[in-house]
Amino acid sequence: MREIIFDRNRCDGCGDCEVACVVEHSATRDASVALDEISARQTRIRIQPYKAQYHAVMCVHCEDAPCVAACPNGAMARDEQTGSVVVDEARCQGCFMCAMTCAFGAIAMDPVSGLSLKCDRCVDRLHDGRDPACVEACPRGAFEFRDLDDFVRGRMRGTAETLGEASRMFGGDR
Amino acid sequence: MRVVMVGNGPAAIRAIEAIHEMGDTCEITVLSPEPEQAYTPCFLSKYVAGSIGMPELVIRPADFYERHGVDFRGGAEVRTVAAEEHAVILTDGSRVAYDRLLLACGALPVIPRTTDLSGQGIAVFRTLADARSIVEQIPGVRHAIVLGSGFVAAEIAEALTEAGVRTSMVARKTRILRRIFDGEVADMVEAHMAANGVEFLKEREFTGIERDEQGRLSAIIFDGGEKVSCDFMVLAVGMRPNLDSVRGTSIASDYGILVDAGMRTSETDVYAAGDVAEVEINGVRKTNLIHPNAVATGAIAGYNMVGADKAMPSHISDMNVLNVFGRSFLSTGSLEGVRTMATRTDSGGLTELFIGEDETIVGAQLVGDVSRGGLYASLIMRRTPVDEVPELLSEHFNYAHTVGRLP
Repeated sequence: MREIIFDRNRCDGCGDCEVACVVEHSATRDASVALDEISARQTRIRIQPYKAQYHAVMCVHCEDAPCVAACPNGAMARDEQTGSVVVDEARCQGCFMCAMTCAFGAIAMDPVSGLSLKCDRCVDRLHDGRDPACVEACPRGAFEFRDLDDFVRGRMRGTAETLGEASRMFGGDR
Repeated sequence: MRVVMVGNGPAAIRAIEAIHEMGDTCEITVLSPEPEQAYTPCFLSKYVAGSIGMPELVIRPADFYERHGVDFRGGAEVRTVAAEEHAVILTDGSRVAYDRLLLACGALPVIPRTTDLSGQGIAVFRTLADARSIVEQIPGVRHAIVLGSGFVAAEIAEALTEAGVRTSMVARKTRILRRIFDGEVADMVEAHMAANGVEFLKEREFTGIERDEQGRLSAIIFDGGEKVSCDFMVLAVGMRPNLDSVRGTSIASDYGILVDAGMRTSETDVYAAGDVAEVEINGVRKTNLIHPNAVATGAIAGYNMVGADKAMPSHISDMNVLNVFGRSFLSTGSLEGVRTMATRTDSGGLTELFIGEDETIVGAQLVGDVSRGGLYASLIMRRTPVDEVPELLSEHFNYAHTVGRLP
């Protein structure tokens, strides 16, 4: 299953991802009018400057998602094909039992509809074989959309190479 | 293997899913006194108000039972459990044999015993059938009384008011929602409900009712003889675990059906979950009649019935969010700290944290935007020292401010 992976060392806080998110979830999906069309507070990703770094605050689509368990009528559910946790806005009643259980505070109250608002990983785009809007929009490549196991293996390989190099450098090859 | 479930609420549904996750292909039979597929009780008040219908109430798609190989038997009322014979006995005398049994039979409304409350004009509010019956009875009602001042009482009072009925909520004390909010927030809820048309009769001890010559409800009577005319009444003084199927059996119960952290009752192969279960974890027993607890205990029962050995690590902490007349009120954790920290907004919003003796966050109350409830709940669970996160009450406070700072 592919995940949105954020590298805070690459983010410079430009906010393009927030704009792309709003545009993607607007009715027109046209950047020239989308920000007028719905409130910019409806972004489902927030870039938070904190301690000289930028953090992406968004739903991480937990494996055993407490919000899915908390939802009384199953309006918060996992999309089987992509693994994304998605709110069915037609059935959501805005009771916020999901928000009550989200340790990431990643579920907002939609200022317009009063319903639960969260990252859906642009599930429509995923079904079309495209990447989420924030991932595509980032000019610095701070986001990757890829299989988490692949990503972790890549990191481990990187670490192993660095360690190997270090041990050669310091003659630790025993 | 034959798994039989008594009840068809969120605990049973989650248990069915857990069994499937384990890849087990046992036969599952669901016995429910109600004919409908599983629905949530959480939104029944919206159904009474007429703002939603069945599509919003049902928990899972219509093919859920079929896809999970469940034999759903609606209208099946269980009389008792014959644990030594591994069978449940229905009220029609028939028997259903099991290898594993899940008792997820929920809770029943508490009925005051002071007087006979059967008959015309008096309703309870728990099931879909109750909700439908209320909808049928309200046309023409001039004054409805909601007896009780808790969560369910507030919800049904809102629904009746929204449906155009003059409604009064009766509280025994000066404060409503005493188990959920502190005085300040309880008063905020009351003021908000009053502004939306709900009337309050507080510090009233219910003693009886009066009926007219035709036997129709005509008044409610309080301690001291005070009479208030009314032609409809909803009993909402509380819920208690439904022990009907285990009374007189070898299955141990106290306030609820006693289970260990793995949802096992005192009888081999018999499990209990949801509102009916009184769970013992590390020596502490608790019944917890909230939806997240039903789902959590249902999952564990499901896994363990087909061979897993899971245990609930700790009790789910108290958490409630009340949504009435378009406003949300949330409480989580303990509201008994030694001091509080709070911010208030011009629009009546509140974020209040309760700080314990050890200077950690022990509880929170939110009014208005309640979307940070889970974030605060996680800080409470992790016993976060209050000075670790200076942004706690900032309007922009979010998860990023806790990165690298939590114990």
